[in-house]
Amino acid sequence: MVTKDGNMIEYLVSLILGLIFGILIERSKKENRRERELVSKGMTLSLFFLIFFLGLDIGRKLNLQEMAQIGQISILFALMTMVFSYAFSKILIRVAR
Amino acid sequence: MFVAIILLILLAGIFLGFQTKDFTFSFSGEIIHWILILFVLLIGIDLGLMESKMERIRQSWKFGSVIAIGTVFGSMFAGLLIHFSMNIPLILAISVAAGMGWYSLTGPFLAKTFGAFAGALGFTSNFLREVFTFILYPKLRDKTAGISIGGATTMDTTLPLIARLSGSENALIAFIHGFFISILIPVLLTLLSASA
Repeated sequence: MVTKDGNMIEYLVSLILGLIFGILIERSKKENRRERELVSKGMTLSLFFLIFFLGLDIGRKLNLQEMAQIGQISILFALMTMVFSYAFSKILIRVAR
Repeated sequence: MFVAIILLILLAGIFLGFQTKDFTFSFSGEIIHWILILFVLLIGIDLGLMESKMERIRQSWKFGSVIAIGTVFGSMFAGLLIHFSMNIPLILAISVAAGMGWYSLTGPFLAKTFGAFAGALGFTSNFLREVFTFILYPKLRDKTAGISIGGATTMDTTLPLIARLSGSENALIAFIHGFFISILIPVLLTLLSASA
């Protein structure tokens, strides 16, 4: 979550603009396979760049001394919250369906 | 193969970032922001190109909010269990768990409210949740319920991974989920710190 602070609205606006743009393309053309391939390639490329710069950011913030001190409890917190979030969501989705 | 490439790129970035700590890479946060804007725009276009499936996209709101409820209760429950098993104060354990991946907020917030140890624990735990999401999400069988493991990060940093591995429909669910969680985290942390 390195980029969250104050950017939520920008992401939302970006998503809505993309949605409108996509709908306009779909309505103007009968076949949109080429556009979908282009978008898919763009998404893969931006994913690679994003992961790299995210790693760079994580590496810069990594404090090994702090990690060693509270590492085990932190791993426990991270894994337990993930496991129970997954389990609860799985049950709720089944109920909602 | 794809997951291996992702992890390799992530590790290369972490290694380079760690080795060049003193060197100024202050622009990386800005770059991430703009790539994310572009990525979310592309997801929007991809969804728009599936206008015929709009009814299914509307369903995303329902699943996004249902998974968000699961994420909140699952995380809090995990905090409760850690309180009983590790003898960590109840409010602190639940507060750390309530960070749900938003480490840049949880760390400083807990440091200010409960002290340095809580801040470091809040930061590291939620930081690891984001890193583990990159490693574990590809392995999960149920990719829709799996969105919950990313917590608040599913509307930005882990969104591209979810979109690539489970499609644009799940990406929209992930975005909505992350949006709800991001609104809830500051509220939960404030309420918890007030009750401490």
